[in-house]
Amino acid sequence: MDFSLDERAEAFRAEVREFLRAHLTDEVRARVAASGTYHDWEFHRAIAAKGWIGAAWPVEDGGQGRDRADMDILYEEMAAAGAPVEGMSVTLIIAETLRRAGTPEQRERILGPVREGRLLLSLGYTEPDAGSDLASARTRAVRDGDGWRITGQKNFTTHAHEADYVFLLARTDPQARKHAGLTMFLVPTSAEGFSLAPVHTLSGERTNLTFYEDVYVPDTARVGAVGQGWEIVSLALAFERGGEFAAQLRRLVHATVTWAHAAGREGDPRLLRRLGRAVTATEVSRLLGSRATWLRTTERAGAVEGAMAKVYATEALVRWTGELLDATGERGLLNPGTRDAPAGGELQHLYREAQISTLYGGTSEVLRGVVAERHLGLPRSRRGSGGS
Amino acid sequence: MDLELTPDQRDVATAFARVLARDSSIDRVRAAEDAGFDPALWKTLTGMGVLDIAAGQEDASGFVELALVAEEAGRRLACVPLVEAAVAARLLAETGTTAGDGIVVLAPRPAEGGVAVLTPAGAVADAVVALDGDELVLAHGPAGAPPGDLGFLAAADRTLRGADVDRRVLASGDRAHALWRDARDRWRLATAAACAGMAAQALDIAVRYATERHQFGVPIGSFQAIAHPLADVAMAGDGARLVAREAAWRHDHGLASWRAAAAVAFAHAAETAVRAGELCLHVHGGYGYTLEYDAQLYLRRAKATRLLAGDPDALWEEIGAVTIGGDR
Repeated sequence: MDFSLDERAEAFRAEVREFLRAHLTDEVRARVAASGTYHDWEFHRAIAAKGWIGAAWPVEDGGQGRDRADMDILYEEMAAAGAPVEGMSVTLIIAETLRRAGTPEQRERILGPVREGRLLLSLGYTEPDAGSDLASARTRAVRDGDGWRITGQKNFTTHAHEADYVFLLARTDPQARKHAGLTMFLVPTSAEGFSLAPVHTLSGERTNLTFYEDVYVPDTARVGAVGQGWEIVSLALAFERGGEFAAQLRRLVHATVTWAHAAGREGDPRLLRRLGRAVTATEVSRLLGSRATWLRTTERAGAVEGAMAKVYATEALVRWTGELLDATGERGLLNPGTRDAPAGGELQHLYREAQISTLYGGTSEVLRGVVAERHLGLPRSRRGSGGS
Repeated sequence: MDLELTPDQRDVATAFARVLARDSSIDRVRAAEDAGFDPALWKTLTGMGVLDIAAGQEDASGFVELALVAEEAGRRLACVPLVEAAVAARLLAETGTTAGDGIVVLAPRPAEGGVAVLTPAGAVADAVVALDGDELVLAHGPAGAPPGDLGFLAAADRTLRGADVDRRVLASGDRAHALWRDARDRWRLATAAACAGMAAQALDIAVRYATERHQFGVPIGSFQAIAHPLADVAMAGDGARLVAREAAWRHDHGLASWRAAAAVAFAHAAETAVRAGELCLHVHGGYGYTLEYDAQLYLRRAKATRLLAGDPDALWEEIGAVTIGGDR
């Protein structure tokens, strides 16, 4: 048993922190706050210049052959600093999937520019009527000569307005079994018939509705075999992150301590109790996350442990951002950016942002089901008639 | 990071797990319930050298192994003062004190008015190590009368002064406080491990029942209203084991952060054990409320263990204060 931090990994952490001091400038933060887009091209290209986009890929794929744990450190530090890396992280989920399931042509066309920070990808899974039940997607793709015609609508296509492609799950066979009738496509956002509308959210983050009206794509847009869409989704799900939620909690603790000193509330027992609980939840979240990371480096996959880490940390984030905002009293209602907002509004911002964390990348309810069945061995829960 | 046990650690854990499963079976626990102490089990465990595991003077190590044994003891609701005696043994070794044969336990809270209030195993121990004002004392004396406690821990008050008490001052002033704090923090981390074991076993029992028990024509574990709380306890429970083991590892590696880690470990693991016990009872429905089922035993031991450290809010407050920089 060894809980020590790997020296080489900690050196990398220090390098990331140094990078953040230099590149996460007030200008970048202001641009992100104004646009609501958690992606910033200048910042993104600076990450690319360090070779950190796809750094865990093998050298023959243009990566640095780093440990996956290094990518966790990268995301952790970015999250702890509040850096705009949503675009990068979604792009890497898709790129990682293409690296394994894409054609040589797709890998050639996509991976290089992704690595160089020139190309952004966006996820097109959910639809107005397909949220957690992703496999019920109704967006249609119909054969047209050598290509396909796509018609439908996707929800929460975040940063599609900056992205070059949408990784789109479409139904190619309405007669087949629910999960068997799906196929994955990479749809260029420049294609005729593609359009989008912004959707604004509680934290100020902007997402999109994307519309596909008879969009033509060549067959080279198809990822994986026809009817294999669900397998591709499952593959991509394994690359969802998780470790950064503990870092978000760290950010919360840091903001609270800063505020308590500024407000002279270091001795307030009600605050201290809440803070003590939040710190404890942060430590537990950190260790559950580290365990999942460690398991991924062994022959075991760590997928269930990753789900456990995600649910625990994000539920803690919702609870303790709320409780610690409460601890600031009535001033807590002052919006971020207003004068006198506690910790410059950071606490309220974290509280707002926390609300999405238990939803994306698998809702807490879906993931608790995964833990119940695959970790505890409980009988499969009864589902609606649409289940496979 | 490598969470795999070393072969030596695995040997220790397996050996004690086997003995505890056999000699602290639920029947044995129930037989020892009134006394809160199982002398035969104590003899077996001390015979296996359980008190030597963490008593080493030449290095700091041993608490990782002690935590592994405590996990198993917690899992089996062992009616022995394993952690209290192991931590006391370490303190006696550090101060070069010979206490003779017999059971010596640490009182996990400072004494009040010369009395170590509700000391675990106070009803059976030959001597108690306690912080009495500014003195750290070893007090041999008559075992206290057990008032009866929630966790069948043989908890009893121990008088540290008086004619029938052989009181030895091990240290006084700052040194007494420092030694006592070491002992208390070690008690916290090892007891956290015991709580993690309790939580794991209570969860296992609940999961088994939820799989076998049918209502409305299906196993109740197929209802999300049952399954999801169990999943929550599984996450908190794995977290409890991790924080306890990490605190022990930090201790054994001489990292200054071990104290804060021990406080966090105890706060979280004790809360989780209580939650697991309560959930285990609840999942059993009305049966869980009856004495015939084991859920109540886990609930009682967990709640009592948490209370041994006093009001849990005081600990959350302490952790908050340490975080904010006002170390107490």
